[in-house]
Amino acid sequence: MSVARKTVLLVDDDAQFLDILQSLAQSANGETWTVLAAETTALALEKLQSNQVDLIVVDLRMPVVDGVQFLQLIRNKYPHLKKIILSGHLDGSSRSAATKAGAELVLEKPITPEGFQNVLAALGELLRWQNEEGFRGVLRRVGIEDVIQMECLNRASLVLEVKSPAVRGKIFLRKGELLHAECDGASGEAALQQLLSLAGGEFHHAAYVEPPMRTLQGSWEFLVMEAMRKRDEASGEKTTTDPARAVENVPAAPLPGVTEMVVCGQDGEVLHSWQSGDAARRSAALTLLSQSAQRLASVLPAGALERVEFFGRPERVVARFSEQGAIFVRGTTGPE
Amino acid sequence: MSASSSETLISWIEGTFPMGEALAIGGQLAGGLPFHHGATAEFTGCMDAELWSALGEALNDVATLDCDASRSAWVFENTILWIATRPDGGWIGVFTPRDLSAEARGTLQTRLEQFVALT
Repeated sequence: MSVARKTVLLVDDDAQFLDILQSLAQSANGETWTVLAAETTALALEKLQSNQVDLIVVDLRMPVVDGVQFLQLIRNKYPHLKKIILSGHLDGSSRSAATKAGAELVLEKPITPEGFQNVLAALGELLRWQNEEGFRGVLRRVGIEDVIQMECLNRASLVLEVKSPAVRGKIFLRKGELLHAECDGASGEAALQQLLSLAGGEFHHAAYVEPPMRTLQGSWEFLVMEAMRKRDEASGEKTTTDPARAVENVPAAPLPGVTEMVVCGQDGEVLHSWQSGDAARRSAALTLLSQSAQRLASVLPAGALERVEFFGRPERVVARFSEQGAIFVRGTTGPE
Repeated sequence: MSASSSETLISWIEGTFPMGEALAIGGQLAGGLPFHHGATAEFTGCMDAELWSALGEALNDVATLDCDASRSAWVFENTILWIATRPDGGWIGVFTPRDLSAEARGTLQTRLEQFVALT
């Protein structure tokens, strides 16, 4: 059975490093990969235009246009392109910026043979990933709200055509202003809310045309936030992973058998604690757990950490994580 | 842990944990020496000893939760990491698919308990 050939583009201003990585990648996967290299982002853009590139690996620190800026530059034009950022100076903020700019993986720049092997393994893994969830046309785990936000900030004029198995819709933007949304008979804010609540599907950027009418008024920030708030309200009965919602719903004594509970926000701030002697300490531990899981997920196809369960006796502890924060619950109930 | 008992433990792991439904297996022996015992193609990152050392540090961080962390399950979006810790501090981690059958889960837990009790 033939395997589809993949094209990988490496971008780094360090010619020596680029040469090593390209040689290793080519020798390890030459039968199935075509490995291109570019020492500047300008050259990289040329290669992107003249080749069907599947995966791009970009150095974070480059002159003129750095890796994050470069990803921001190409994310719209090459929505199916998978992206990896490499850096020898990774910290929390640069990792976060790279992820926000669309990098599926953020990896330490290798300096040892084992490190190079790990990076090559990660490249191979990412090439095997399928965009099975989230929105095709952008990145895994990126919602339409992120796309709207970016286009509005860019003061773009376009029509965003959104399609899922159940719903089809359009969102009209003119010079960064939300003018109109429509889907399946609904229009205006109701349509925007419906489209923002989709868990997956695909979208396309279409050239701007005048909408049939204007149904959205006000700033895009307000419209998107309001639609997301309504979406969260609508899904609130189904989920309890949002710590802020958990705070609203926490009764004086949470549940029979629960002996301690701490709810933390996304920055580790304690939003609520019940029967906890040292909520700040719990929060710090949850943050460390979350960070460890993120590091793990950067080298393994594990995905995001959802929860950790400790099956101690007679106590059981569950730490539940989401993008909004974490919830720590200690109880006397036995394991499932 | 003596060298001979480390070897015993490693031999036991190699004999008891054929890959089967596991995606990757590894951990640390008492004293912190990391080990890994195979990984599927998707989990080749688990062949890096540093990964298991880092996980060991994460387990140390758990101490501030003031709970018995000797048995835990880390549920990720795509996988579950099952961890069992021995009284001597050695621990084993097994990555499995999330949709592990009840039978396979029972077998796994039995083996983890054997790992903890092995002398």
